Amino acid sequence: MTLFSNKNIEKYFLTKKSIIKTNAKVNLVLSPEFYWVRIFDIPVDNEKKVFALLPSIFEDILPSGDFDYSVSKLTENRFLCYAFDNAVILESIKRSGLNTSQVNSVYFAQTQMNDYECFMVDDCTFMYDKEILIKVPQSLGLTAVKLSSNLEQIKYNNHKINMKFYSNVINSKYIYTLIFLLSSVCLLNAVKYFDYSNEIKQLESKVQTIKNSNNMPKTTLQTVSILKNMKIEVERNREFRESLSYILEFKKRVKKGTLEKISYKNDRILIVFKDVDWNNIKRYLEKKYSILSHSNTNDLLNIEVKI
Amino acid sequence: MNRINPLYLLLLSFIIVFISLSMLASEKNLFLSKIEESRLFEKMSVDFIALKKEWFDKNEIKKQINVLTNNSKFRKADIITTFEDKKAVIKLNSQDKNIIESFVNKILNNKFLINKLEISKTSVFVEVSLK
Repeated sequence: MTLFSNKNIEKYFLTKKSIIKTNAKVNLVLSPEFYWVRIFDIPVDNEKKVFALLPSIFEDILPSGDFDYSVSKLTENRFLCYAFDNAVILESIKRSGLNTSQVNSVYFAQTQMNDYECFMVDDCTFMYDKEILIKVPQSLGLTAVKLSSNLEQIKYNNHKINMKFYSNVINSKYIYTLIFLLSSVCLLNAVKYFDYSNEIKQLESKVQTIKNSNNMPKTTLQTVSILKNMKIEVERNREFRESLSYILEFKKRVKKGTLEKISYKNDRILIVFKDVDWNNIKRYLEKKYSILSHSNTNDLLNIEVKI
Repeated sequence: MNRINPLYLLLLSFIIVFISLSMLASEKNLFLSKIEESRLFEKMSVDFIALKKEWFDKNEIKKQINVLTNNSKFRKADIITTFEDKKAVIKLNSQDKNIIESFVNKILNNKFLINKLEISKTSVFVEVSLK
C-alpha cells in the first residue's frame, strides 16, 4: 500500500547522524537506534491489552528513564512490541535541521524496510536478523544496498508512531489529571450557574405573579412612586384628622367661646370662633400648628392654620 | 501524533475555570440582589395592597358612602350625594346638632381620602377623593 500519495510530502530515513535540508513536509522512518523492539507471544487477543503490559515486559531490557510504547499485531497472540524515548527522537529531529511542524508522520524502520535484507544509510549499516532490524558495525563488511536518506522509492505500511512533539518537565499524566480536575470544577461551576439562573427566573416569576394578581404597576420604579404618593396622601389625611380632633378639643383649654365653622382644604384649616379670647386660642393652636392669618369680624374670629 | 502540548491545555483549563468562577460569582451576586429585591418588593406589595384596599378602592369607598348616606339617622336630614369620576361630594343639612356631630364622626372614622371639608352648626360639606 502506498501511503504517501501526496507528492508534497518527502520521505526520509532518520539516524542520529542525519542532516535533512528541506522546507517540505516530511515523513520520517526511524532507524533502530531510536527504539527497542521485540516479538512477544502473549495470550491476549488485541493490541490494546498488550499495550497495557508493555512497561512490565520491557522492564528488564530498558535503561532507567521515561519511555513510550507501541505495539502491532503480527499473527494470533504474536505481537511486535516497541519501546522508545520520545525526547531522544524529538532531539534528533531538531538536530537534523527539521522543524517539528514539518513532520507529518513517523514510522519505525522495522516494518518499513522489509524490501531490503541489508542496507546502508548515512554510513550506518542495518540488517534483518531473525525478523528484527538491527544496526550492525560496518567492520563486519556485509554487502549492503546503499540508500539515500531521501527514500523516494520506498513503499511503507501503515504503522505510525504516536509521538509527542513537545517535551515537558511534568509528566503528562499529572497534567491530564489536573486538567480533569479543573474540568470538573468548571462543570460544577456550570451546574451551579444554571442553578442560580433558575432561582433568579423563579424569583422574577414570583414577583410578576404578585404584580399581575394585584393589578400592580409593571415596573418597580412605578410601584415605588405610586406607593410613595399613596403614603403621603394617607398620612396627610391622618394628620388632618388629628388636627381636627385637636381643634375640636379647644373647649378643654379655652373656656370661653364657641366654634362656629371649620373648613379644610389643601392642608389648611380655616376656623371661625365666636366670643373667643384671641390670646388664649392663639396659645392653644400654636402649640401644634402655625397660624397663617387671623381676622376679626364683629364677634367672629377667623383663623387660618397650616397643618 | 500529539502536537498540542498538554501544558497549553492546562493553561486553557485554568483560563476557563477562571472565567467560569467569575461568571458564577457574577450570577451569585445577581441572585443575592434578586433575593433582596424580591424581599423588598414583597414588603412593598403588602403595603401597596393594604393601602389600596383600605384607602384607594374606589368601589369600596362608594359602597361605604352609600351605606353612610342610607343610614336611617341621616336619611331624616337633607342629604345629597354626588358621584363624579374622581370624587364624591356629600352635603348634609340639619338643624339637629347630634346628627351633624354623628355624621362628622362617621365621615372621619371611615377611611375616606378627604379633599375638602366644611362643618358648620347646621351643615356638613365633604369632598372625598375616588382614585
